[in-house]
Formats: sequence, C-alpha cells, structure tokens
Amino acid sequence: MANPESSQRISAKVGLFVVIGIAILAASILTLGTMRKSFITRIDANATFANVNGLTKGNNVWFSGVKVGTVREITFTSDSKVRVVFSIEAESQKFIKKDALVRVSSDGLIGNPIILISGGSPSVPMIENGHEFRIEKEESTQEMMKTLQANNKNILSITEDLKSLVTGIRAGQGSIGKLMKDEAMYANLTKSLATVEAATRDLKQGASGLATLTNKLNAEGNLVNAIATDKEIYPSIKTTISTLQTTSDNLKQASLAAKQMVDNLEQTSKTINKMTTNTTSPIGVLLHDEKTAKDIKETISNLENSSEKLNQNMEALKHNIFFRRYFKKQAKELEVKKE
Amino acid sequence: MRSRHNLFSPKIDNWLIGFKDGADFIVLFFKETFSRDFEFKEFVNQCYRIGNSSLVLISLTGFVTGFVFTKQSRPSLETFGATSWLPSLVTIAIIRALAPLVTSLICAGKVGSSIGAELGSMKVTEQIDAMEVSAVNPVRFLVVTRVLASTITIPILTFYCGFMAMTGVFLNVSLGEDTSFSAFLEQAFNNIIFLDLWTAIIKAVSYGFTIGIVGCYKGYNASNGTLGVGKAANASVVMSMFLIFIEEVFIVQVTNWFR
Repeated sequence: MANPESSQRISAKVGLFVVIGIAILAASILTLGTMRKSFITRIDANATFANVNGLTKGNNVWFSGVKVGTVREITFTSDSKVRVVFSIEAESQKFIKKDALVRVSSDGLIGNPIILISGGSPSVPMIENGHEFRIEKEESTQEMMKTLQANNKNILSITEDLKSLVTGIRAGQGSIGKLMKDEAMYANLTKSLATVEAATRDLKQGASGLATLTNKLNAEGNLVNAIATDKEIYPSIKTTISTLQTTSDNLKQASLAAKQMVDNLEQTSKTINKMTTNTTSPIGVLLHDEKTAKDIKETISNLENSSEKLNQNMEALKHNIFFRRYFKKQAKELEVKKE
Repeated sequence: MRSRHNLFSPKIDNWLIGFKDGADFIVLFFKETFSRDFEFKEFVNQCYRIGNSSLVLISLTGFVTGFVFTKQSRPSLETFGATSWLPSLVTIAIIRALAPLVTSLICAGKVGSSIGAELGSMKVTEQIDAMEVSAVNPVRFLVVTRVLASTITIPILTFYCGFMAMTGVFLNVSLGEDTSFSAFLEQAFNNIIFLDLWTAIIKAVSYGFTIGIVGCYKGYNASNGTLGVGKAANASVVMSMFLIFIEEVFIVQVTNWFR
C-alpha cells in the first residue's frame, strides 16, 4: 500500500506552484514591454559616419520627428570610420525614400544621441533591407563657433556704424539730425501731423458713415438687401421686364395702327372737305345751294303735314266698322306679349 | 539528507508553505468580502482609525518631502539655468511616485504594525477562537473590514500627502524664485496628465491592500504568546514595505505601457 503524501509536503508543493506562478507573472510583466517590439517586422539599414557623438546600441532612430527604429550595431570600418546598423519598422519603410539623408543628432538640448533621417523625394522609391543611407553634412560645434565669431564681428561693425550715426544725429547732421535740432522743421512737422490727424479723423467719420449706410442697406427688409439676397425676386423682375417688353411691342404696333388710322381719317377728311367745297357735287349742292335748301325745307314741312293727316286717317280707320275688329285683336296680342 | 515528509528541506518547505498560506488567506479574504453579510459599521470604524491615526504624520512627512525634494533639485537645475522647470519636475515626481510611496511606507509602519499587533494579541489570547465559538466570523469581522479600510483610506491619504507635499514645494519655490501662486500652479500642473493620476491611484490602492492583507495575515497567524505578537507586528511592517517596493517596480512597468 502506497504511503499517503504528508499534508506538509502537499502544502509545500502548492507553495512552490504559487511561487512559480508569481515568478512567471513577474517575468512576463518585466519583459512584455520589450517583447511588444519583438513582434514588429523590421528592416536593417546602414550608414557610415566620421563621428557618432556617443551614439550607443539601443538609441532611437527618428524620421520627421517620429521614432521609427533603434540602433542595432556600431562597428569601426577599415578606414577608421564608424559603421552604424539600425533597424527600421517595416510600417515606416514606405515613407522613407532612397535619397533620404541621415545624421547624428540629439533628442533635446541635453538629450540622448539619435539618428535622424530627413528629406527624400516622393518620386524616388522607398528604401529596402540593407539600404546604405547617405550622410547629411553635419555642422560641428567648432564650425558653429566659427560662424558665431563671424556674426560677432559683423555685430561689432554694425554697432560702430550705429555709434557714428548717432553721433552725427546728435550733432544735427543729416535729415534726422536736422529734424531733431531744427525748431522750424519740428513746427512744420507738427502742423503736418495735425493735418494728417484731422484728415484721418474725417476719413474715419466717412468710413463710419459708409459702414452705417452699408449696415442699413444690408439690414433685413431693405430693398437693396431684398434684391441682393432674395432668390425669388430676380425671376419675378425678369418676368416683369419680359412682360413690359411685350407690352411695349404691342403699344408700338398699336401706335402704328393708330397712325395709319389717323392718316386714313386725314385722307377721308380731305376728301370730305373737297366734296363739301365743290358746289357741283351732291353734298356741295346740299350745303351751298340756297334754293335746294329751301326746297328740302318745304318738302320736310309737307312730309310733317302728310304724316299728321295720315295719323288722323289711321285713327279714323280704327273706329271704322270694318277695321275695328282687327285693331282690337292686335291690342289683345300686344297685352298677351307684355304679360 | 532529505526527509520523507519534506519536498526539499524543512526550511525551504516552510518558506513555500508560507506562500501557500498567504495565497489561501487572500482567497479566503475575497470569499468573505463577496459574501452577503458585511460588517459596515466596523469597516467605517477602521477607516476612521486608519485615516485619523496617520493624518498628522502624513501631513508632516508630505510637507517635508516636498520642501526638501525641491531644495535638493534646485542646484542641478540651476546648472542649466532651468529653475523655472522646478515646479513641474517636482510635481511629476510627487504625483507619480513620491506621494503614494511615502504615504504607504508611513502607513506600513503605523497601520500595518497596528493591525498585526492587534490581531496577533487577539490570536494569542484566543479572542479569535472565542469569536468563532460565539458564531461571529472572525475573518469577515476582523480581516475584511481592516483590509478594505486600508485599501480605501490609503489612496485618500495619498492625495492628502500630495497636497501637503505641493504646499512644501510652493513654499520653497516662492522663497527661492518669488513665484506667484497662479504661476506656480500653471507650471506645476502643465505636464500632469490623467495617466499620472491613475498611476497614483493604482499604486495607492495596491499598497493599501498590501498593508492591510499582510498585517492581517501576520496577526491572524501569530503564535508563541506575547513574543509572537511583537514578531507579527514587526513582520507585517517588514513584509509590507518589501512588497510595496516590489509592486512599485511592476506597476511602473505596466503603467509605462500606456505612455
């Protein structure tokens, strides 16, 4: 029969299991940060520098201010230069062109040294694994100091010129010197400035008035604003103008017709005038011959008498036994029609 | 020669059994924490005791830390003519690391030893056994309330410590550079991001839990009379501080992933 394992032994085993578990957890936490980078696909690139300014393995590689890789290896070449191999993330590879340049820089005023990739033309193909970068000309501290020394000399020369200029001005030489020393010129300048100030004030007022007018014109409900902003009024105006054009054409035609009518009337009037002035024509005779007029007058008088007598005869005829019935019948028919 | 009853040797086995018992104790704590009955009154009482007992000590320590840290950092920054960076530099250090660490170390000494000694004396005088007999769950009443109280109170004390440290920083900066309060606040909190606050909270919660659980574990497993009580109090302080530093390493590692 197998001996049952002692409880202390089992507890120790469980304790060992706990320790191993904690150790694995701790190891994974500590290494996961660097392992994350291990899963990224990278390519290698090289560059050969005369001086790397303390660059070490693990320093960063920047492209346009973004970290894209790290320095992997630093070795000397046969000609005493420094060859640096650095890895670049494959994700950034497409953005870095073959004509891009590298230089050793730092990530701040007193920061770590880094490799800085810059430049590159869009038309040039992207870098490939093992690409050899060209080196950007570096400005050494000595060169910078030389430039600064030259700048200092220039500044000294400028300040000397300024000094002589100021001395001349103080002595009243040149335009500025005269301006500062000459009282009359100062007075004229003051007057001119006052005039300019007044003109500016007027201009300001004018601008203010213009602004007010513009605001009024731009105010809602204003005709100009309505015309400028209303989308419906323009077609309406267009239609109105078109209608006015048609009306104008019609009026033109009407005026032509009226003119023709007036011409015809003038012609007719001339004809009538000619006929009335001609004593041989029937109208001329009627208008100018006194004898004919007298005859016509008598004829009309006779016609009136005849008419009066005919009325009397007709009244007598109504009372005649033979015709009375006919007139009564006629009167009845008239009444029926009226009803 | 290895004994039949041991896995390795009695010493190593006891060390491994300590891990197993610790893990068991943590499991027991969580089991009792999520059980239905919760001793809320005792929990509030423990929160008050932990907070109140450490308040003066933390105020003084926080203020001195801020003042001295600023004073010590000034010469280095003066070399670069960058003393204007002093508020932001010290604020980052305080919020990210110093406030949680200083608070938890003070509490490990003050609260951890207190919990260890209290529970240890209860254990050796068989009060815990008496509670079990009288149908009171000692883990729920003594352990859960104390661990939760330290887990919640220590983050609050951490922010209070940070505030006191910032007061010390302002005093030193205003004495040295004649900086106005608004300019100091602007410079100090310009570089603080939400992640820094989260880091401080995560650290403080972890350290609070560690202090509580270690104190309770050591006290709950005390033996050998009054000597055991002293050993429990001492062991809880040493173990808490050790674990706090270990946790610091891992929390910094984890939070740096998000930066």
